Amino acid sequence: MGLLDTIDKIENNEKDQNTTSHNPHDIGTRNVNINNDDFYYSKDMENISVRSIRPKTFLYTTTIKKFLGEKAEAIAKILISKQRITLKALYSYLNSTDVPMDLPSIKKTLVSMIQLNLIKYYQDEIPKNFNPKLNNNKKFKQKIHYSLNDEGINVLLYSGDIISTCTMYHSYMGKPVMMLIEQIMTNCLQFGFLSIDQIIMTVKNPQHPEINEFGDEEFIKQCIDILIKDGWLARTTPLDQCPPRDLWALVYNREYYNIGQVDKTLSELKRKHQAVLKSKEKFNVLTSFSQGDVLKVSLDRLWKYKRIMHISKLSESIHGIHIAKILNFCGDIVGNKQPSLRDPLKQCGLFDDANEKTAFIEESQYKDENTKGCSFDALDIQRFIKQRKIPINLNNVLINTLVEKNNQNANKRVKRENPNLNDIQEENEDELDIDLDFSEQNSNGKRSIKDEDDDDDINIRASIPEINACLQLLSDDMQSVQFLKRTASGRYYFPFTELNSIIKQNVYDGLIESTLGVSSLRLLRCIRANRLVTEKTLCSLVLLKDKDVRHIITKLIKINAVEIQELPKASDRSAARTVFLYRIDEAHQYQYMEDNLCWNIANLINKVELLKEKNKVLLAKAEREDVVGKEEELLLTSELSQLKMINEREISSYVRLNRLLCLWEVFQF
Amino acid sequence: MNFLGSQEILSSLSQPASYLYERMSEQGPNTLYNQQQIVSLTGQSMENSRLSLQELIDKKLLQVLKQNNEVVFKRVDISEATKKLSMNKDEQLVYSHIEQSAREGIWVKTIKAKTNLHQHIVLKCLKNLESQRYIKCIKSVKFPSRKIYMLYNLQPSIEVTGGPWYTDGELDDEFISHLLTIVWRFAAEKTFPDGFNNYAKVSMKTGENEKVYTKNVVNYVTKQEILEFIQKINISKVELSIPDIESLCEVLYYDNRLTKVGVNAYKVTLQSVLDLMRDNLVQDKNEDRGEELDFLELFEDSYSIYKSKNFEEPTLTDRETVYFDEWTL
Repeated sequence: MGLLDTIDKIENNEKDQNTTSHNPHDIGTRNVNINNDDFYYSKDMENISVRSIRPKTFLYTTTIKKFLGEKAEAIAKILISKQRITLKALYSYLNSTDVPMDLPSIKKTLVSMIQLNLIKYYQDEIPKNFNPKLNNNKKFKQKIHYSLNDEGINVLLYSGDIISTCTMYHSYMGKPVMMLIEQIMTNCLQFGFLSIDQIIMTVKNPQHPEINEFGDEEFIKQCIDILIKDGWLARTTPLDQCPPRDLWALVYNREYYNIGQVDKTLSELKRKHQAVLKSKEKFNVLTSFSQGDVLKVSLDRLWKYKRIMHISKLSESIHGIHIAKILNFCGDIVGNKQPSLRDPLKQCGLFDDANEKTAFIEESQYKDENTKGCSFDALDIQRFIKQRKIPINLNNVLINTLVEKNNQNANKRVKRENPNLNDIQEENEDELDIDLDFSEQNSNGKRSIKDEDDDDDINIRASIPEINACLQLLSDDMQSVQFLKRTASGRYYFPFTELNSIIKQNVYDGLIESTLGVSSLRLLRCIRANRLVTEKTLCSLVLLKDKDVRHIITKLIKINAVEIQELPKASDRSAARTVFLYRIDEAHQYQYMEDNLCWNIANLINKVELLKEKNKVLLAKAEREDVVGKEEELLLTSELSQLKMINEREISSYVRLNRLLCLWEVFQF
Repeated sequence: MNFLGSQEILSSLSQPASYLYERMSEQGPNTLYNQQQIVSLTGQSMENSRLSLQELIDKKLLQVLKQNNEVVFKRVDISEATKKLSMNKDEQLVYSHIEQSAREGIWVKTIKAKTNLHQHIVLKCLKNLESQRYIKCIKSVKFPSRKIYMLYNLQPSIEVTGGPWYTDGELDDEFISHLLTIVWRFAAEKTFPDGFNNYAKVSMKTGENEKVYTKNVVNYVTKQEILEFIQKINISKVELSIPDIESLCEVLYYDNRLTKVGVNAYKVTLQSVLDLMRDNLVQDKNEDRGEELDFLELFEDSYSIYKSKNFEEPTLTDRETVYFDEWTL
């Protein structure tokens, strides 16, 4: 069955169970035109100057080399430089590199990489107008084009993070579930695409020393279901193997052809426009389609989790720890239901058109508010806290009256006299159905919140009015960042589209402040606030000396944080009469920072690998069976101290690597 | 050259001229008179009035101005007239240009161009006038290398001095920094229940002892309140105004130490409080809180760039240090 048939089947019947069982190699017809940008390819890829040109290449190749070895690295290098390549071309390119390979070993490596979701492939479709009789009875040669998959490499980079996050995320379910989930995630990351039965097979261990549940097949299946339901594991279809650009081109070409068949008088412009509209609709359905028995680790779920974490951390720096925790719980309530971060449409080159981009942003904003399961209220949060037995105490955290120092009676600025937070009135009490009177039952006979609280854990002290006060603070539009917004029905939701850019800006500012100092941050924020400023205006606004401003600006220009805008005053554009203004281009700023962090991540991985390479004799000795456990007896003192040094350096590298990844991911949101 | 005293000048005036000057003195110092008004003041014919006017102009007791294409006269104070009469003609010319420049001051080169006098003469005149404390040399913030003169008794305008942030034409870093700290502390006292000491007892991991105001509390400060506070504590010798306070608040906002609330009000950022308290923050207790808390630890232990001020600096021997500019080197 071809890719087109698969698409047809999904369109016709989304619940078709057979879709996943088909071999994606049996792909049907039609030719696709993809703009294959020719990136450079050089034998001196190892050279540091070449590595610096495109940090992503450096990162991807280093990561693949670390996890899969030199052969996979050589293939990845060519795939990065050529973007999309056939086996034959890959073979010929590989033979001109330092790592020549024969065809079988290339095929084996490719299979391993496809299994780990590092490579996606696309098989040419047979054109509809292809007639074998006209072509000397020759069959149409369906070439397979391979291209690198960013998602797979990111999964490798974040593998440790995925395992620990996913495990700790389910810690409230108890130790057996945690251990099983850890094992399932590790196996899925290690083996790539696995069916549910295969996962059970790899995890099942009746002789497990600690957890009996490792032998219980049904229990493992339940854990897998939990992971699927929560989005950490995703069901795959043959379409997942197809690069988004190829899939887009396939869908678009078909729609374009169909529209032409239906209405032959339609102008080219209208035909293209209609084709794009219909293709977008179908493309979204196809890419969000998830059914079948084969599972993969979902990077999207990690991004969603990370986004919530970054939003919470930002709110922690603005509102404090308790309110940030409440916001974090809101994010966990929304969980996997939040809109996806990385829309495949972004990768199809559709956003070169500014109108398309604006439309996409508007649609994202609409999705933030209207996606099912994305809104919540105080009751949901309280239920969540109780369900997970989270020890949070909001008593005495939120203060409702202004504390005047040295004057306890001075309540001039206070809106309410009673400092009890529980007196905060809801804007719409009927809607929330909350009784704020703690002492007795209300007239409707509904139980007060206090009564409910009494039954609960003594560590959990978060009443509805307190949670509501937190939510009000988070949704206050007078604050610097509005973390939550209210729906028409009075519930709250995350405005993710706006928050994405706010997180980027704040992380960027944080990086500038911690590396270049507060003065740089002052200048940067001043230029951002005033958009376009001359040097003189800038000096007067930031209250710094001209010399200092010039010095800092030079540093900021060097890292693309600030740009110079020329404003000629004379017709000959003479420099003497030209005014130079400063401005900010966020896209350039973030791109530079992303590349910089990317290079540093790759450099750290490279450093660890070089360290291991330098000490490989010692490391091999320490790992020998007869040495393990008897290191102190069999190794020299100098060797032991060397081993300690290697270990310390490796740990410090990984800590820094994780921190860099934590910053780098923000610029990919 | 005769140096006349003020009494001598007045006594040397003719009767009608003296009468006219007295009548003009009664009307106030800044009143302008046209010829008709002068005639009505003197109660004489135009001819006689002109004679009196000429006499007063000669004695520098009257200044001739032009307003709406009409010649008008302004009374000059007797002390000012005495001053002018004590100068020679060149000095008078130079002085009149300096006088015209008012609080903006005038550049030596401009005086030279306007008076059409030789540089030596101009410099000599300026030297004489300066020694007699009739004029003074000031420093302009805009043009630090230019010699600018203005009348001795005038205060230079803000454009020339650069406003309250400049002392002797130089940006007063220390003064600005003191004021910034004062403004921040004043705002911090309002923003948090315990002011900037709010986080002194707070565990930075669990948030124990944390106190924050709810949305209902007016825990922000306005520019007017800041100005009143600064005036009350009498910290600044320079008179500050609302725009000055605004520019201070804006600088604190650019530093991410203040945040805007609406249009006119400010609050301090939690970040700035934590940065200030970073040496005194409560260290995390290494308590074993049980497995069920792993979920909460995910949030508490995750890395945050916003706490970068609390990180330890890498040592020089640390080979894994990540350098911000290593990529471009």
